[in-house]
Amino acid sequence: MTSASSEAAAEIALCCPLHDDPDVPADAVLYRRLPPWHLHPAPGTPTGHRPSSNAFQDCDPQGVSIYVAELLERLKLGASDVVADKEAGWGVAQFLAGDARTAGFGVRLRPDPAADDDPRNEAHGELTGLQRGNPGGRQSKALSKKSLVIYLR
Amino acid sequence: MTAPHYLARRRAHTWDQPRPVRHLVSVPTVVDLSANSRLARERRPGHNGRHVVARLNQLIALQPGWDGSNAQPITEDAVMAALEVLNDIALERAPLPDISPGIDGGLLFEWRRDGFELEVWVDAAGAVTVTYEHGDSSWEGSWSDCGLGARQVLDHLADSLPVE
Repeated sequence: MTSASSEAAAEIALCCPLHDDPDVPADAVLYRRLPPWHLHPAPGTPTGHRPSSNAFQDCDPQGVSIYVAELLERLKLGASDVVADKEAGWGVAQFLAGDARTAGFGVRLRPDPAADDDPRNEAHGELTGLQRGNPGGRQSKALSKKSLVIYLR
Repeated sequence: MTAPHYLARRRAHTWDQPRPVRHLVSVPTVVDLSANSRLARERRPGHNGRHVVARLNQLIALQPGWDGSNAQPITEDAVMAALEVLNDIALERAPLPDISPGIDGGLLFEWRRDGFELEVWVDAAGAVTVTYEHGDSSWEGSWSDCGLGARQVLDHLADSLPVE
């Protein structure tokens, strides 16, 4: 296989290309909204719930949607605002950018072009580099273990 | 009792029998598993079975975009493969699994207890992968390769459950 075709194969194996923004420090706190179907009982945790192993997967070719806590705070918003437009039962998982990178993701800031008028959009970003199939499942599982569900709507 | 989804019908027929579920697929229809129904008299799932069927019925009703993004509905291939796996384990003895939808239309079954982590991932095409972790020990493989190991883990977890 040629180098070019190897690179092409590697791209195909990714749901979205790996982009990592070094301006997002490893200790940056990130939030991800989770549907009720990705939350399971976990006694002893702050909300009594944990994210499912596959909670950090997303078909979006741009990446796995996240919000940066510090940027939300600058907008006078918090974790609860991440799911303010969702039904009861949705939750918010918190984790560190460094943990996402350890799990094989890249982290980047990128407002959602489809959400220009969303007040949270300046704090929006993505986890990139999610692999397809079982390798992506392992990435998601690794990050879910480092995540804490901090808010339930 | 509220009539469950067609899935309950498939499951009700096959709960204790390691038969190929695909041979039993009929036109999807809503059936009544109440005490007076014919299906209930023929075979009735136990507590864990009813719990799992209820959960699966919730998940297969999910619409595209159920994750607020681009997630796909659960596929019939995934459901059928999942039922075959569930048919293959001592579900009524084992701890209840946490069941999640996959963004690609698959299903994930997780058992986490006492440091044991067993996951059965069924993808949208019905391919089944098992992963296991406990301390420094871990393995991963297809259901045909690792199903026996998974059943042994579940048997161990079942034996560790408190007696009610």
